[in-house]
Amino acid sequence: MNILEFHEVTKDYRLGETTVSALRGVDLAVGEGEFIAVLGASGSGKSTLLNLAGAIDDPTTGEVRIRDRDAAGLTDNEKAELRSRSIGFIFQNFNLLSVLTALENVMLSLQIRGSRTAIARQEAAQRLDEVGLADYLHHRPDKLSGGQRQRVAIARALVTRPSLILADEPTANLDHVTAQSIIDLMKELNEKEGVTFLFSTHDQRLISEVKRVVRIDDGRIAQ
Amino acid sequence: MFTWFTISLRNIVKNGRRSLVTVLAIALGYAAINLFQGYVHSTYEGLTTAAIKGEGLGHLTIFKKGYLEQGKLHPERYQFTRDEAELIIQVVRKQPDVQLVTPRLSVSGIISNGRNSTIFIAQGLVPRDDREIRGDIRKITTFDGRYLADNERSGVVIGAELAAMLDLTVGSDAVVLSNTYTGMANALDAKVIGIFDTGASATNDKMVLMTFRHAQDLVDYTGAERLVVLLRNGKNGNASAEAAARLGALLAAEGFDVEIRTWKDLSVFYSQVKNMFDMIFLFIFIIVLVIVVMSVVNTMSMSVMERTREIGTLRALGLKRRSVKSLFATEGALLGLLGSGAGCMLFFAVYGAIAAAQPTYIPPGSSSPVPLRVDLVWPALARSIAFMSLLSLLAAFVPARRSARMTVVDALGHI
Ligand SMILES: Nc1ncnc2c1ncn2[C@@H]1O[C@H](COP(=O)(O)OP(=O)(O)O)[C@@H](O)[C@H]1O
Ligand SMILES: [Mg+2]
Repeated sequence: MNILEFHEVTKDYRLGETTVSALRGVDLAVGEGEFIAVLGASGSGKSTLLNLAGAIDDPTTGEVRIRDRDAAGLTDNEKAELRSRSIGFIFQNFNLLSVLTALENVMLSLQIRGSRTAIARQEAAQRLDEVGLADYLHHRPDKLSGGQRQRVAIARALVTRPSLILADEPTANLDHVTAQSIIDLMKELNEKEGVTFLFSTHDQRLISEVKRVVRIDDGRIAQ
Repeated sequence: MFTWFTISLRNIVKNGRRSLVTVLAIALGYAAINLFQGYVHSTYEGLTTAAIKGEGLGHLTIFKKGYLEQGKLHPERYQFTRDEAELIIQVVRKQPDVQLVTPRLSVSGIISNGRNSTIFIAQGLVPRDDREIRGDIRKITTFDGRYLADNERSGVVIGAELAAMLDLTVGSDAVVLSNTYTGMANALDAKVIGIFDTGASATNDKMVLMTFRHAQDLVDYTGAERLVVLLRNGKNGNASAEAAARLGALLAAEGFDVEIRTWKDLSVFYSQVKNMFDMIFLFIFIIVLVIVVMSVVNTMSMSVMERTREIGTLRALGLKRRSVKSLFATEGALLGLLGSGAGCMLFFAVYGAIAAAQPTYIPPGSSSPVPLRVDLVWPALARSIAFMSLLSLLAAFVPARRSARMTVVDALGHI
């Protein structure tokens, strides 16, 4: 069964008088355990696609099915629930809470679900260890490098054991070497633990090793 | 829950300066409200004593039903006959919480020094009982001469301004004139044995204290106008209402048709001062309310604005709108809590300073300085903490609602 399916999805943004078509009929299926890169120029619709995949936005027409449920049909709270249970997010700007330590940031994902603190702490520490930050548990984000911050974010996305991790240009704010190491880390997690990744980038060089690349151009998928 | 608390607290610390301003505003408001309440509390205690003892109102006054509306027009119909008064006194005196019950009869008329005359209002009272209610009147106010003796006959104690108007001094002879209840003019001798300051200019030029018997003779009536009750342990005056209800029921069961009023009902001065203080308090309270609400709303709005992306992130991670709201509401409540904590310290600093410096001031209507006192009212202090926190929490809800209403994508920002 597919974790994620897009059926003829379009997305329009209304900007005053004009309408911007960010997605123009997208069909896409993501199976369990896949590692997919969405490649496209800036403004091609990558973020829109990932937002829809993560149930943080609704399509204008068409259907987005996440774990076989029509996302548009869910209430706000049900979507939150779905995200908390099944989806992990990694952001371009890392989006860590500045007042929390690395460990607390990772724990947060679990605590949103209502996990007990002790359990959350243990799991979070383990995940941070996995992404190579065992020595940085108690560092606040401002004491970490960009690459380290993104590793914390990966641990945060990973810790709830989601079906799907969405990463919108996770490397756009990193230098090339660090960016590559982040992609490699994601790939390693995909191979070792079978975590499904859907990430976007505009950088060709990063996807040489990626098996499945979805190219998007002006809101359309160009296979 | 603890996590949200941690996030709130750390954000408050992180925005130290901004938080400090809000916390200080709340602290000032807290201290202002409680210092004023403490001051009012101490003043009320003084006022209570002044009403019960100084004004001689005792705790309760028993009237015949209808007296308060019709009593002045038909004194005989709405006053107690001698028999009624005696029976009621017997019943009331048996109550364990009653220290004393005493009859009074007020009379008005004209007082003359032989050449000039003016109106007077007299309280006819039982000297021994009155001394028990008021204590030594000569210690409370400026007093010249002596008070009514138990076996006083024609001796009267009069207000200082009345004495001045008629050029009466201690030892002067005067005449009091009034109508008997049957409508005959009556005049009796009155020897001025004491002159005192009643404390209120409204009564100082009219007041005459005479014995109950003297007053009865003047209006040719053997009954009593009212019965004044002094309670044991009625010190702060709070027991009065409850005792009034109990005595009322008791007397009704015995077949007496009476109305009972507490000192609070009867003391004009107390209710006037209380009304004034209540107004001032309301005024202070509203100012504090506005300042606290505005500064919390302002601070929390800025917080929400600065942390928009954080809100988006949390919601993307699965936090529900409701929880986002409570995250910011928690922060608001925390500001209120910190503010009232600081306010508590401020309160005690000022409280300590007042206790150490013992400042005095001259209140209106008084002729000598009294110490400025602030009472420690623990329940009020605690209540204010709860109130301030709740207020901050509610104030934070306004910006918090705005934070929760945004869509996740908007909150995350257009990347
Ligand atoms: N919230 C929005 N309001 C209006 N236009 C938008 C909005 N989000 C995206 N767009 C437009 O939709 C198109 C696709 O944007 P986006 O999905 O962000 O592309 P990418 O992530 O590949 O840069 C762009 O033309 C962009 O300007
Ligand atoms: Mg984008």
